[in-house]
Amino acid sequence: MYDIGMTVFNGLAWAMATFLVAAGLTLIFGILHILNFAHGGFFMIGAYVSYSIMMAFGGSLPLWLYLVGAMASGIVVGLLGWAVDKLVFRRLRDVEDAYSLIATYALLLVCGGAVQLTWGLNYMGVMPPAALNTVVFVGDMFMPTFTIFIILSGIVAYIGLEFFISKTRTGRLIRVVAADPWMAQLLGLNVKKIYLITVIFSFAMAGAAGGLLMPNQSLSPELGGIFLLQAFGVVILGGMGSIRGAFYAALLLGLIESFGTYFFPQYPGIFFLLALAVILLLKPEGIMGKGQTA
Amino acid sequence: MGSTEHLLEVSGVNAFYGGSHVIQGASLTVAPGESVALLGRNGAGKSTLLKSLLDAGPRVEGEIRFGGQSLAGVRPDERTRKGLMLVPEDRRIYPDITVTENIELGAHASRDRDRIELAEIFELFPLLKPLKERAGYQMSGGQQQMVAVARGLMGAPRLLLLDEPVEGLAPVVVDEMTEHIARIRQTRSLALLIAEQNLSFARRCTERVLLIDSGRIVFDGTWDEFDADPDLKERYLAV
Repeated sequence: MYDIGMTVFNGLAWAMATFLVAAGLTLIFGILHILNFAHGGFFMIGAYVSYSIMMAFGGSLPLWLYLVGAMASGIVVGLLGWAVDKLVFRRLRDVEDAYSLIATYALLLVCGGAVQLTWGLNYMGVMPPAALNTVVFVGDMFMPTFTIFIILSGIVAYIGLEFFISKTRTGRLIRVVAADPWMAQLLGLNVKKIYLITVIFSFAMAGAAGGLLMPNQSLSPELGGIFLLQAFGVVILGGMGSIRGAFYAALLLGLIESFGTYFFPQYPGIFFLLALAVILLLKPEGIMGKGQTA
Repeated sequence: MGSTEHLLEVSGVNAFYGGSHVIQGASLTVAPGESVALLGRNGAGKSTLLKSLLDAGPRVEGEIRFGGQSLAGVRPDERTRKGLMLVPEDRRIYPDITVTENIELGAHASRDRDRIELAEIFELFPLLKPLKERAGYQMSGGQQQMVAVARGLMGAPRLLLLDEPVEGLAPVVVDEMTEHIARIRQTRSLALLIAEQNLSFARRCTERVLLIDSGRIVFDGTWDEFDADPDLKERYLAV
């Protein structure tokens, strides 16, 4: 029982951490049809910004500073999203996908370079805030509070996003533009503005995710790539552009990875890729079918 | 006639899809409240001309004035907010939202003008009343077409462009659409430009005829003038 419980717990932790990064990625793909390779880079910048905020406050990380830092990272990266939309994404709307891939990959390299120039090449580590640096015992299982917090953050982010997309006015307009931007403009909707809102919102989520996941990570210029790969897996398997799909795909892949590593501890990180390959062979359109944003 | 009397004034417009020159020097006018038919064969350039007026597809050159102002550099969504609405040939109803939600979307275009209430729309289209909560994908072609026209009206247009509004509809539905358009013209002061191949429908809904062939306007006159020259029909509309 102990082993199964802990393995599920670890799978959930993987799933929700990955979902926090994947949510913005799938949103931008679903609405703008741009596959944003740079997403991991902006997630990484969010983590570094949070780190700098913490250092500016004396190097310790009380809970309030952790939360405010994550929010501030969201705002900073959201503003970067504004710049990226104006400078890059806007030019990618009517060109072939290959150009998008090249442009956003270049942007990922720029992110990595900017991080190296600003924060250096050294690995840096941060402990979770003291209030979350405890352990909860359930039976003979011990669950780190910080991990519980990340799992809950992922669930809250998912519910919040579902509500935003399906129940709010802005969310509805985003869906309308995603489904048929040509008609949307002929109904008086400012499509560019809605794209801009989507990009800022997605980037802000990446930045906030960086701030939230910063503790317990080794902060290095490679951080972007690690999460990006997992997030891409989740977005592809969830059916490109589907937030709900990304959430369930994250759960599925997280559990597969976690159980795989439990049974074959010498092969960590392999099962996620294996599962991704096998499921996509069987169901190339992803687990949720295609063409739905929400 | 002075240019201020025209609602829409198109002069020497060319439109291109890639390298193909689809609209070739088209000029036309529509007066406020007037209803004009744009007739031509498939591929004559009717849809391209309507899309050109909104800058929604082809690359467009030439002058388009609406309400006395040049539309050069004006975005498509801004054009709709000036009162120029297009109901496209393929209707483009959003499948995953309800009829009411689809129609309400049109209101984004009416922001700066006299709004039209949803209740008034359903008075104009009584057949849509029982379908209010139905999803877009659950409707027949005729119903979708009515929703598309209703949605266009929701934008409180000064000029409504209808692209083959009765294409593929059963005769009884065509009659309904004719009645709807007559009722709309009685209650709202708006001009219509209707691209059509269905002559009898166009005749019942409009006062003036434009003929388009290979991207050029080849005739501009009243229905009487059109009928006086049977050769026109033979040359430009016969299949």
